[in-house]
Amino acid sequence: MACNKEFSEQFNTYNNNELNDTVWTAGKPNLDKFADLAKGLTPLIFGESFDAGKGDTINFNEPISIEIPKGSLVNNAGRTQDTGKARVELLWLRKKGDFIKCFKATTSGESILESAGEVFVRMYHYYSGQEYAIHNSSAITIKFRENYTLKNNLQLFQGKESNPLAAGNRIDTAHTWNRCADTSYLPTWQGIMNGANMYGYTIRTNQLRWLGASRFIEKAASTTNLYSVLPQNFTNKNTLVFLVFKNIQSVIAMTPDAASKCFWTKNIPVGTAVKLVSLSQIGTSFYYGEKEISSVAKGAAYKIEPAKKTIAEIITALNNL
Amino acid sequence: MENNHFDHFIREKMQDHESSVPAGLWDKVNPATNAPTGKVIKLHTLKNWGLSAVLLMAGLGSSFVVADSKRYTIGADGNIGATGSNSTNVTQAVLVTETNTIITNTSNKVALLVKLPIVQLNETSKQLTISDKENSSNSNSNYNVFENETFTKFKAANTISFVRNNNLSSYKFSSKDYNKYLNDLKLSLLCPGSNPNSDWYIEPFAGPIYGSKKVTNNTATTSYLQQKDSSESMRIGYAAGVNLVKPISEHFVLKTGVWVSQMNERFSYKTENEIKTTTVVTVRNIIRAPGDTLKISDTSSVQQIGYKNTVVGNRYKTLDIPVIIGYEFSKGSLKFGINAGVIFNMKHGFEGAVYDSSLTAININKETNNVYKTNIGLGLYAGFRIAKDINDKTQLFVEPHFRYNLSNMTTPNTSFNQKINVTGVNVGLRIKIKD
Repeated sequence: MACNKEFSEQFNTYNNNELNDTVWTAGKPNLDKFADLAKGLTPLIFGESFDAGKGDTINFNEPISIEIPKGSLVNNAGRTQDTGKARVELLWLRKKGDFIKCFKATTSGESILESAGEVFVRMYHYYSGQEYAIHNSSAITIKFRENYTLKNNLQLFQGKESNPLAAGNRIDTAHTWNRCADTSYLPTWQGIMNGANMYGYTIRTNQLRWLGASRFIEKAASTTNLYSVLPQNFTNKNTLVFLVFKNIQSVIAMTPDAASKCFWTKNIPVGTAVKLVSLSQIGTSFYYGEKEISSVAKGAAYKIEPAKKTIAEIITALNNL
Repeated sequence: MENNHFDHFIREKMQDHESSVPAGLWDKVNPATNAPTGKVIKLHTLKNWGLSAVLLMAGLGSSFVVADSKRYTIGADGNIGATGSNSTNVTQAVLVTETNTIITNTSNKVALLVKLPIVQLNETSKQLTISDKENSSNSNSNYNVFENETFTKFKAANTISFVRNNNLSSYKFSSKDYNKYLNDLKLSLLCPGSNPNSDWYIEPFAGPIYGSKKVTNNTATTSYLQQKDSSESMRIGYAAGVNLVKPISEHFVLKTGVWVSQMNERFSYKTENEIKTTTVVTVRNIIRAPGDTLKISDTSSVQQIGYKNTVVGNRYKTLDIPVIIGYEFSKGSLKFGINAGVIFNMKHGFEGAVYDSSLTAININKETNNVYKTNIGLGLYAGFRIAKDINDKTQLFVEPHFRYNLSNMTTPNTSFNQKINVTGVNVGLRIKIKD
């Protein structure tokens, strides 16, 4: 009737909006849509130029340094680059949040690693951008600080990347860590760096790109699978879930399962304190979720409820993991 | 109670009254042969209103009254046929009263007048004839008491009625006619020459209305006006009120009252990127190992994005005081009236939604309204009334009407000017509240 207040609402969903897509894909998800999130989360990359013919030892503003010997660079033709201006770029992942920012879990296959730090280093011709490698007979030395207790049994791991390499800000879902052939423990150091007394590790290698100072965690007597569920909007097409150990520097990328619409991982020690972290990009919106588990129960499933966040808010949350 | 007061009043005023006899009156009277057996009214000093009073009192006692336009006739049984023997002898317009018959008709209301003689007024000859009942059929005890001037005033009084065509025997009168006659008579006795119609009426009414909106640009963009036009459409509203009606003459009435109205408008708009959150229960079966299925029942919310079509009922409410003058007339069993006047808006309110300058729909209520005025000023009113009696005190009427508002309903700062003129039909009752 006209005398009654007329009020009605009709909601119509957009057909091709990602938020309305609650279907899990049975195949391998295309993570290209995370480009904006990945770009926003990428930590600061250190960069410095040097004379390729002379080599250099570069101390960055952070407690990490790299020593590049004279005549150690070779170009893609296999010739030693003994002249010209070169540039080194270095990305240092020190904390658990950093690993997640770069979508680099500390796992080697199905084994869980404890990492003191991961470094991405590349060198290239200053002008042409041509990538350099390290001569087989030479080696670069990277020294970085340990933020926590110094460990004496870390080994060098090299990141195995997709082939071809993931371009731009694409998340490399094939990335894993392989222990290098030289399984000796990484030397430690203690001394003055950037004017402060500290300690850390030394990586000496002729490999570039992803390098990690890690170790396998001891296999627990009792391990379990751990499952995580999220609201319907969050699927394997728009969400990544990580398991973060509370007391060690380890991060696991959980595997999506389209059949049960959950994320899961295995070999988690029962009773361990962990935190589940979800990162989602739906359309142009970002979501972050956390679920703290004080003691992992056997075969349990845990629910994460992501909330819409800004990149800055997500970075802050990751830094506090 | 009221009629008793009137009776007492008449009794007190008239029981000791002696009218002076005009010069020459008694010369025209033959007392020896024509003296009435009942009470004789001395008419020799009749003046204008005094004459009227006497005659109207006589009318109260008559069994019927023959009317000109109204055709009043009062009979003991309401039927002129019972007393028609007196009047059918009159070939011209006459007023006829008859003694005694009023007793059975009005009981104590006119008990004072039961002994009045028959009074006959001859319009052609300008003569008044008075006789007692017994002699009335002989018509030989007549008194010619009127001069032309007196006759004219006598005739002007509403309480005096005349008949044409001498068709009294076929007319039957209702109690309404009778009451009307008595009311007119009372007023003429008290205030000779004044408006004889002392009636007051109230008119409760209600009805549907429809607004015709006119929007002009002030500072709005063309797209704004287009969007507004496509989003808004008027709907049926309603009006209600009560009028106080005072007849000011036989045909004219004056009205005022309190009116309320609500014009309804449908405002529909579309908003993009709306998020709809729905709580759902999801059941997941996680196969941990062959034969080991974990069933998870999860209550969570799911969000969807889309556009929303919203329809809001806008309301324009008014509180008005009208001042209306009406001309009313009868035709057959129906009564018609033409009403016109001014409407003074006391309060105007708006509830609903409008577009802001960015074409975003915003809700407005009386606290947040800065778009529409709280008083829209004057309006002009015109209506045509059709009424029919449903009893002696009540009329049912229907009045199609139109209201033209003189001012914009929007505030000066609004980017558009808007005026709504109203068409509607009122249906109501006219109820007599005071005689």
